[in-house]
Parts: sequence; structure tokens; C-alpha cells
Amino acid sequence: MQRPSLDLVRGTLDLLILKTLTWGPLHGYAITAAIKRSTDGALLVEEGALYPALYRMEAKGWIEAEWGLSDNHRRAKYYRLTKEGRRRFRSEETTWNAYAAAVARLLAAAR
Amino acid sequence: MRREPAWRRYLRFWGADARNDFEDELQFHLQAKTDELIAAGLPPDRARREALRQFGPVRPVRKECVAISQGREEKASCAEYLAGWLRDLSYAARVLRRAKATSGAVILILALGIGASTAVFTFLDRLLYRPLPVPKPAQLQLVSLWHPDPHQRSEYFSYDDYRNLRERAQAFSGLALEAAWVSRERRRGERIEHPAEATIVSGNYFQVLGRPALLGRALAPFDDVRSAASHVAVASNRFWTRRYDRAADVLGRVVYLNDVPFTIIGVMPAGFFGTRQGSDPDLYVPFASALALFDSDPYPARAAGLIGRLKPGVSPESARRNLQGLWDQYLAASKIELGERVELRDGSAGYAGTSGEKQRSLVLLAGIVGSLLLIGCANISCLLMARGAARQHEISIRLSLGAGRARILRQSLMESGLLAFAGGAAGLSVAFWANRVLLAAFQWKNRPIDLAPDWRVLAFGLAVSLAAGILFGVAPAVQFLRGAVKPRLASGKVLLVVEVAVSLVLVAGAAVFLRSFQNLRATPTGFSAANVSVITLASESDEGLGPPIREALALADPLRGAAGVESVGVADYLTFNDGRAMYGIGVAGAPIEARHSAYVLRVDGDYFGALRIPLIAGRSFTAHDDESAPNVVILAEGASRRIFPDRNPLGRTIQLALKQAEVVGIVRDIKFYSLAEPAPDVVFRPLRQGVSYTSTARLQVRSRMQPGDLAALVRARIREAHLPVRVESATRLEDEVGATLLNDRLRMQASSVFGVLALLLMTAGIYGLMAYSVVRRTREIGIRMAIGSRPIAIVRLVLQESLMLVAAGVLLGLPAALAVMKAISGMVFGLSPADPVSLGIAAAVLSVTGILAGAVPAWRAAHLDPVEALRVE
Repeated sequence: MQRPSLDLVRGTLDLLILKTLTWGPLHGYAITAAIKRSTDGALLVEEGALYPALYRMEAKGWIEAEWGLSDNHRRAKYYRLTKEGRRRFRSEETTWNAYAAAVARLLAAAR
Repeated sequence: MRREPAWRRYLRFWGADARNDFEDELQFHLQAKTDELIAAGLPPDRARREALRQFGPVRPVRKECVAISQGREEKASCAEYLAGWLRDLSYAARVLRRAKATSGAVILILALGIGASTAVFTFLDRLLYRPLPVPKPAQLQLVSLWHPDPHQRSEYFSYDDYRNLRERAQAFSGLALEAAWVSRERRRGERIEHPAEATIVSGNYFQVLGRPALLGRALAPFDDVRSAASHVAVASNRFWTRRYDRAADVLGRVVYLNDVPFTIIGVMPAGFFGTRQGSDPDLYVPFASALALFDSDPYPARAAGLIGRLKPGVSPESARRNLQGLWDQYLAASKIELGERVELRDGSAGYAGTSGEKQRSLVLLAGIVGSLLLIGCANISCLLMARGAARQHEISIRLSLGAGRARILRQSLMESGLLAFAGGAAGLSVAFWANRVLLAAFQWKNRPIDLAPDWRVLAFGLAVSLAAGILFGVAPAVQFLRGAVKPRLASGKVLLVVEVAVSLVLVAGAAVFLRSFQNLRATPTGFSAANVSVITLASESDEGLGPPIREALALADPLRGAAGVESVGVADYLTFNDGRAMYGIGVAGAPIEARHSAYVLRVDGDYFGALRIPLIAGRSFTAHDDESAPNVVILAEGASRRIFPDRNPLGRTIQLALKQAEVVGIVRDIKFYSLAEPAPDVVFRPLRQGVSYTSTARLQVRSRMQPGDLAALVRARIREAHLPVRVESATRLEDEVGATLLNDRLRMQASSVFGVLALLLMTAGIYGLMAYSVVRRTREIGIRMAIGSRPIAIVRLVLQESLMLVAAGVLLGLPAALAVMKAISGMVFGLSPADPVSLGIAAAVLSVTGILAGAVPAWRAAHLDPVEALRVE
């Protein structure tokens, strides 16, 4: 297995989790899988960091959890965005886009 | 509140176990990963190891997640607990809204009871009981003298008395003097809006009270010496605000009192009002200045209050002995032996702001509203008890569904707390409104009484409402939880009997005051006030001393010719609702001891015609009875009999203060100043002889015209003739007489209003209890009907019960009513202390009320369908 080349910038994990949950409720493993899949493996979430992040966001009321059954009928904890979380996602997304664009501009100018 | 998310309740099913939750989640994650790796071709055992390796160290992750989860759990359970209270609260509000009639009644009763008593107690506190805003008020003592003969207490001392005691009273850190009279702002040739009133105090007054000035300085002993070159004054905070708009440069400004300039040297802090409750002098000036203010030497006049501050650790009794010794020495030096006893009383609240009749009215009112609050509470408990009984079914269901007892208690606590709170809040607005009513009723509108309810009054209201709520709301629930199947009626009956007893006292009191007031109104005054208008004339000229007699007489003449005017009399005082002049009178040359005190009125000859006071013998006054003629008087019958018991008084000479005068006529007795008192001795002098100590003259016009129209006529005439007078007021003589019945009217009205309220409450209480009783006895009534009882017998059955309650209440209330009637007999006119008519009226009213209140439940009981009734469980 190849190690991912990109380490996550601090604070981006929350944004990624929120983004994946906009598609619908997911359990923890599905969230890592979804991030990996949609970035073609470029971003790999460190699993040890995922759960504390989820718990923190739950405590903040951005997401809520519910026990349900997975596709292969195992008991799994599903996370879902709250209204508050959806708001949060939109503002973080905006911030990130502005940040990324600014960095891109700077790099272009330096050349 | 945001609704509690579903997952929180969901979570609780598993119990709040954060560690297990995390373990389950972790296992699911690892299993899913392993499955994926196996699907990718790894053998199961390697796949499992690889999954663990990719996850990284589990322990720190577990620790962090569990910690976060537990923190949230704690917050959640706290929120859950609060949400429970809130749920109960909103449920309670729903329940109360559903039972609109009961809740409304309870809130109304509480609001009226708490509001009225809060207002009355605010007044009592502000006028009688509030400690003075000075350091250590408990050290203050008010000094008074008890005279053995005549048997009376005097609170008045002269400056000479004070000077004699001041230096040698070792038990006191200081003795101060405050005059009971005030001096008014006045400056020649100037009309002052809202003139200042100054109280006259000894130089050490502020030192003894212990309050320094806010600006400048307070008076000091060196201000209080007769050699002082100029006069100084200290302003109250209210006056500083009112007159100078709190200007910083107020010090050094000059105020004229009786035309004498006083320089302001200091301003007192807000809240300081001297030592008389319910007053707030604008200025404080030293006694030494009083000589300049008044024509006579004020030092020997006994007209000031003596206040002392005890030295720390000195008991009032030893201080009293100290003063008594000094007082005895002082009297011995002036060779007077009066056997006066010095008395001290607690001065922490200063001098009462109301005294005599008004104070008694206020205390009476406090008693009445207190009783009403008592009745109201009894009533509320009956209401809530009946409703509690109706809700047993609901409580049983909740209990069987597993609701904890604590939870059910909490619920009923919520309901009664909510009721009490609503009642208390409504009560505060009632109190606000009642304050205004009281101010108007007692004619205190112009007094600086601070009526903002302070925390003690608020706490009192809240405590009463909460106590009522808890007592009457939670008690039924406790009773039920203890296992009583149906709350018994016995306690309700006891409460109701007490209620009837208190109502009897209130209704009997109302009857007494009504009858007393009727008696007063029916009392003959000796003169006819109907159709008499009073036009008060005040002098506009600078001389300003004495009434404008010449002008009044000049105005009376043309009025007599006006259409609709029957007669016009002039006098210096009114016989009612005005000042009074009193003299000692006797046969000519009689020593002072042999003189009687009599009211003296100066009138013109037409006065007797205008007021229809019949002349029995001799002549009336004429225009020739003036300063150049010999002094003459007309005596009222009573005075003439007292001075000349066995001789014809006409032509005889009497002693009137320092002067002598010949009796030229006798008129019928008239009441003076008070309707309740017997007609006093009255002496009439001609208007053109002697002096008056009032500055107004009163035209008394018998006519068919309104006072306002007469005043317009008089004003026109004043302009025409350029007379230096103005019309100060125009009223009806009947109203002036009626005004002296202020306290009697007040008591009559207050006792009637509250008597009716008590009756209403009692009716509601009896109705509620009887209605509940009928519901309880439905089955019994059904059986009675089934075995042949006629409806009338059922009606009798129910009415009997309610009448028994009333009878028991009346019996219980009778001794209390008698005691109360005895206590108020001093305020009652023309009735025996145990007036049987009033008691009879009260008992009859209560019985009729009892029957009426029981009638509806009785009728309902008599119209029960026996078949339905028997089906009741």
C-alpha cells in the first residue's frame, strides 16, 4: 500500500467530514471510504483522528448520531448533519474556497 | 425551547455508556476494514492485523472519544433535568389555562388580597414604621412628658427647656430640638410659586442625627447663636432638585423666609427627610433665627420635639432617670411642682407621619385588608381542594404509568407556584393602583410620601403568595399520595366556618360604620348649610396682616342686591374645615383658672341671617359696632349658660382674653369643627372690632346660584372697584361641613367595599364546597330519591348543610365581632359599642347569602336523575 502524499492541513478534516455528510447519513468507516474515493486516494484520512473529530463535532451539535444497521446487517453508528452543521459547512466551504484561491493567486504571482 | 432531539432519548435506552458505545463503533469500523481487505485478497488474519495497523494506536483515541462523550452526556443530563422542569411548567400552564374559571378566581383573589395589603402596609411603613435614614437609628429616643393632671402626654418642649437639659444630659451623646411648626418662604412684593417650607432645628440637629451634608456643610452649633450676623439654611435634596435643578453653585444663594434673607450653606443627601415620617422640609434653619422670623420670642414656647441619641451601652431606662433628675431640678428652680414624668420612647422611626384620626383609619384599613387576605386564602384553599379532588383520576393514571411521587409533587408545586406568581404579579399592579386611591382618599396627594415599593414590601407580597400557593396547592397532592382515596370535606368545612366568622366581623364592622356615618349626617349643626356658597377672599395688598375685612364688606353690599341672592354674611373663619381661634372667657375680672375656653368668630350682622342661626335674645351686630364703639359680643346659648348659670347675660360684661366686652345678644348653639363632638362654647365678635389670626375673609352667600357663578360676580366687582383682594376659592358650605367627615366617610366606604368583597368570597366558598358535596353525595341522593324522597326534601338536605356552616361561623365570629366593635367604638358616633342592630344586620345578611350560595347546588341535587345517580361509582 502506498502512503498518501498529502497530509491534511489542520482544520480541513472537519470540512471534509461535513462535505461527505451532505450526501446523507454515513457511519465512520463509510466517511473515510467516501473521502478516499472522491479524492481518488489523494487524501487519506488518518483513522485515529477521525473518531475524535466526529465526537467533537457531535458535542458541538453540528452532527448527530444514531445507531442503525449497515448494508451487511451489522449494528453501526450513523452520523447525520444537523441544521447547525449544514450552516457550518457552508461557511467553512466559503472560507476554504477564498483561502485556496488566495494561495493560488499568490503562487501564480510569484512565478 | 428547541425540542429535545430524538437521539438523546434514544441514547438513554442503552443507558449512557460512552465506553461501550465507542467499543461497538470501533469494532464495526475494524470489521468493515477487514472485510474490505479480505475482499482485496488478504487472508483473514493478516487482514485483521492490517486493519488495526492502519487505524493506529487505539488507546489515546478511545480515551479522547470517551472523554468528549462523557462531557456531553453530563451537559445533556443537566439539560434533560431543566427540560423536565420546563416541560412541567408548560404542562402546568396548559392545565391552568384549561381550568379558566378556577385559575382566574384564584389569581383575582390573590391579586386583590396581596395588592390591597401591600398598598396599605406600604403606607403604614412609610408613615409609621420605617427606620430613619441615619446611622444607628436604634440609639435615637423621643422625649415626652406625662402630666398627672390633666392626664395627658406632651411631646412638646421649649428652647429654654432644651437649653437647660442639653449640657447636663450625661446619658446622651446629644439632644436635639426640632420645631413642630414651619416657616414659609415669603418676600414682600413677590409672588412665589410653590414657596419653600422651613423647619426650625437646634444647631446640633444634624450632628445628633449623624448625617453630614452632600454639598457644603450641615448646620453646626455655632450657627445657632443669637449674635450670628447673618442667617443660614440647609436645603433638602428635594428642594435643591425642585428649585435649583441640582445646580452645583447652589451654595451661597439666598431664600427669603418671612422677608428675612437666609443663605444656603449646604444640601442634604437624597433620602434624608428629618425626623417626621411622610414629610420632607425644604429648608432647615437654626432656632436662633426664629426670633427674626416671628414677632414673639420663640424660645419659651413649648412647640418642639426633643430627640436624643443614647451614648453606646446606655440603657433607655437609665437615660430616662438621668433626664428625670435634671427635669425635677429644672422645675424646682422655677418653683413649679407639676410632678411631670419624663418618658422616652424608641425614636428609630422618628415621629409618626400621621396621627389621630387618620392613623386610626389607616390601622383600621390594615386590619380590614388583612382579614380579607385571610378570607381569600381560605377561599383559595377550598377552590384548589375541590379541583384537586376532581383531578385524582388524572393523578392515579400518572402514578400507574410509573410517574414518580416526586415528579407528581413537582407538578403540583409548579401549578400552585405559577398561580401564586401570577397572583403576586397582578397584585403588584393592584398595589400600584391602590396607592393612588389611598393617596386621594386620605388627601395626601401633596405629601412627599415615597411609595416605591421597597424590597421588604415586595418580599412580603411574594412570600404571602408563595406560602399560599404551596400550602393550598401541594397539600391536596400530599394528602392524595398518602393514600386518601377522596380528600375529605372536613378541613374544607373548618376553613369555611373560619371564613364565615371573619366575614361576620367585616360585615358587622361595615354596618357599624354605615350607621355611624348616617348618624353623623343626620346630626343637626344648628345652622343651615344648604344653598350657602363660601367665597374666600385673600388680601393682595402688601400689608397682608389679618383678613381683608373692609374689602369683604364692600363686596358683600352689591351682592345682596344681585338676582337670586337671599343674604350675605361675612366671617373670618368657617365653622368647619378651617382654622380655629380659641380664647379663655369668663365673667369680667375672672381669674384665669375660672375661665372656659371658647371658639371666637368675628362676623358681621348678616351672618346669622345667611346661616339661619336664630337670635334668641338681644340684638345682632350693626355697622356701628366698630373700633370706636364699646366692645360687644354675642354668645351662643351653651357659652352663656356656662358663664352666667343663673342670670340674664344681656347687658353683662365678660372677660375675653385681655379685653372686656358687653353681651348684647344670645343665639342658638352651633356645632363647631366636628359633627361628632357636642356643640362647644362659641363667642361671636363684630367683624369691625379686634383682630384675626387668619389672612382670609369668607363671604357666606345664601342664594340659588352656583359658587362658580358667584365667584365670577365677585371678581367682576373686584376689578370694577380696584379692590386689593382676590378670590381664593369658591365652595359650598355643605362640602366644607362634609369635608370634616373625611375619616368617617373613608371608614364607611372602605369597610363597605371590603365587607361586600368578603361576602362575595364567602358566597364563592360556600357554593364551591356545596357543589362538591353534592357531587360526592350523588349516590346517596340517588338512593334517597329511589326510596321516595321528594325533591324539596333533597333541597332542604343541602340547604341545611350550608346553613349549618353559616350558623357555626356566625357563632364563632360573634365574640370576635363584639371585641372588634368595642375596639372601634372610639371611631363610631351615636351607637352603643355592642350595637345589636349592626350585629343583627350582619347575621341576617350572612344567612341570606348562605342560602343563596347553597341554592344552586341544592336545585341541581333535587333535579338529579335517580337512575343516573345510582350508576355513579
